[in-house]
Amino acid sequence: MSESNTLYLLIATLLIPVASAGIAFVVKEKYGWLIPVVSSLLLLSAAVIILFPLLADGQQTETYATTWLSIGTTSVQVGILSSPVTRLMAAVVLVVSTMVHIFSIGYVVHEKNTDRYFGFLGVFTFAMLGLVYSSNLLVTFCFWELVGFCSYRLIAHKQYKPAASRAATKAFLITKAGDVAFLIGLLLLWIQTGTLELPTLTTGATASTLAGICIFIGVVGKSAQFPLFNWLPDAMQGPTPVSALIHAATMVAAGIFVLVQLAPVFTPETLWLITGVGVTSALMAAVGAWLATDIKKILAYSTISQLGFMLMALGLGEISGAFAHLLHHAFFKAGLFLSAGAIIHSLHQATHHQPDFDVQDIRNLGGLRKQMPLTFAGFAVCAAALAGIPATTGYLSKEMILTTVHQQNLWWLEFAVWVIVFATPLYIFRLLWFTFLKPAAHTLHIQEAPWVMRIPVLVLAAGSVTFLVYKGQLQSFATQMLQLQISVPAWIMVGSVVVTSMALLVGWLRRNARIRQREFIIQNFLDEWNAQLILLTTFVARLANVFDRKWIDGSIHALAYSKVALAHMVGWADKNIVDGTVSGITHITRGLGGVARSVVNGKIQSYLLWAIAGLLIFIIWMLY
Amino acid sequence: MTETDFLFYLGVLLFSCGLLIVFTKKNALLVLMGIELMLNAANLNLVLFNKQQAGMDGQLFALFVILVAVCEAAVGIAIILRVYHYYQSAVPDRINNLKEHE
Repeated sequence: MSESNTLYLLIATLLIPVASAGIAFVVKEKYGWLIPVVSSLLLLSAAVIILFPLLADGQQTETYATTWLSIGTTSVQVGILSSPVTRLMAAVVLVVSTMVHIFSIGYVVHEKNTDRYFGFLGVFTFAMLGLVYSSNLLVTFCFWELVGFCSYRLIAHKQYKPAASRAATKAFLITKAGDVAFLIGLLLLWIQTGTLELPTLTTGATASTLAGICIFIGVVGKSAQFPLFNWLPDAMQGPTPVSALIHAATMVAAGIFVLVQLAPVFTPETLWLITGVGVTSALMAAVGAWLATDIKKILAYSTISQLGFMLMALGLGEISGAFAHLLHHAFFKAGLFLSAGAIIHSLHQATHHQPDFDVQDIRNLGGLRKQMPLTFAGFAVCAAALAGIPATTGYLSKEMILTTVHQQNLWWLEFAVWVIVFATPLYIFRLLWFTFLKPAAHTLHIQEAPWVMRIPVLVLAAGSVTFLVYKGQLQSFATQMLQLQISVPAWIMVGSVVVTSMALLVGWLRRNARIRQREFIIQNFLDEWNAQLILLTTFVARLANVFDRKWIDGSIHALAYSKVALAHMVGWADKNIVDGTVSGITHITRGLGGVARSVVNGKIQSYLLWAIAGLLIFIIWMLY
Repeated sequence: MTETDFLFYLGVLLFSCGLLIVFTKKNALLVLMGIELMLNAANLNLVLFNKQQAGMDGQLFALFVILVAVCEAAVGIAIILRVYHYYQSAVPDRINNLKEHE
């Protein structure tokens, strides 16, 4: 495919979500039913369009950039980076976003404010695509903030629920705390390397440890890692399709994606910090997922755990494995969330929105396998992918990461990773058991969700299955596109299968253990800690404000007053000396002109007199 | 002082009188008369110089001048009449359209 075609297609995929959002905001309430259909179709077209450059360009890397602004000799480029990584990420974002849009047709059918909902879904998708395509980190940062803002608006979509607006504020504040560090890190990087262009940075530049850590703190906030992860479980107050989008493709993936691009730039110290934080988050969130009873919170903790797993891989240098896992995770986690959304939707229908019946509590669920067979199938496949059962995408990327971990020869790291491998099937089997397999806790007349909600789940489940290519190993869509050569030692394959089976066995044996309502203590502790952090930040901000008012504003005022006084003096001099000289000259000239002109007074006889006088003077001069 | 010198001085006097009339008189008709006086002073000079040499061309030229003066008077009076119609005045000082008005 020629270069300009690729550029146009990428720009088209970037603009279609904006068009979708524009339509959603503009269409009148009377035609509100149009919005979901039109938005879904537009997103679907974008998802189809992105396939052309994805399939045609192969491993080609190209940057299309133009100067955005120049400050002195420094110029900032705005442009599109078209590499296999960005194209694949954009494709996954668009596919997941399309599925979420389609699913939302059924989900928000009785809700109000569909215009705002679909509008922000569109802007959210646009922001994430912009972040993916951007070739300059400064532009990336702009989109990064836009992603945060959109997630804030979407989490708070159910404004009538106080918990929703609180959760949105919490998400916004905590991610902002990370974003400040992110911006500082970017500026440090800019100062040290003199550029924020990704293509230049990734060829040879090195970020200092400080800059790397600052950038990483931003990623920690965005991707909900320890110690800034506690906004994500609360963000479950948002509509479930939004959760699917946040967890799979847009919000939390942004952090990992930026690290995927920047990981080669970091120093080993930064990378070790990334690994440490990743392992901690992965283990901690696995415990959280085991303790939670809310179906969406279990999935939220599972996301944190999986993202930690990816961060660990990134820190160890297994960038392609982490990226493949990010893409696989996008598919199966979106599938899991949409299934959960379908379950919640159906149960709401069945219980007629009884306020005292918590449909998200897994203790109230059960037996849905018979009532919602297709959703069950989709959920089971996605859960298998999450657990890393062979023949699913999750298995492939997990094996790659396990291989890298083994090469490090660090017993504690390897032990932690195997614990994660053991814990993941455990909690997801528990969720599967309580939701679908166990005998129903309540006798409810539950109907399968409508087709618009079943199809996206099935599509995402289909994307989570590996396929066999000719004379090769198992491949997923991502490994196939990235042309990864996967070589995994046999004992790791066997070991992971054994550990996963053991986890499932333990899960099966303990399936009927009573679930007690238990809090995940670390989260409460961190809530307190974050609250203190916010108080401290406010205090610092107030101090800065006073300092700003008193000293900086004061000196600026003094400077301004002195400038005004100087300006008055200059003005006086200008008026009286410079202007005076000029008008003096004009006066003199005017006087001379008057004298010269007085001869020409319009009287014929005086003209004659002067003419004769001139003639006489001429004659006298000629004769003598 | 011979008679001829006296007549020369008379010509000068006539010319000066005519010039003075042209410069000072308030009425355009009188200005025209001053011009006639100056022409006649010139005629007197032509006749006097003709007397000091052979031939009659000076006197003939004076006759021509008289003839031209008649024509000039006719054209001048006609112009003054038009000017009077237009400006309702024959005073040269009032006819100052060429002057820049401030």
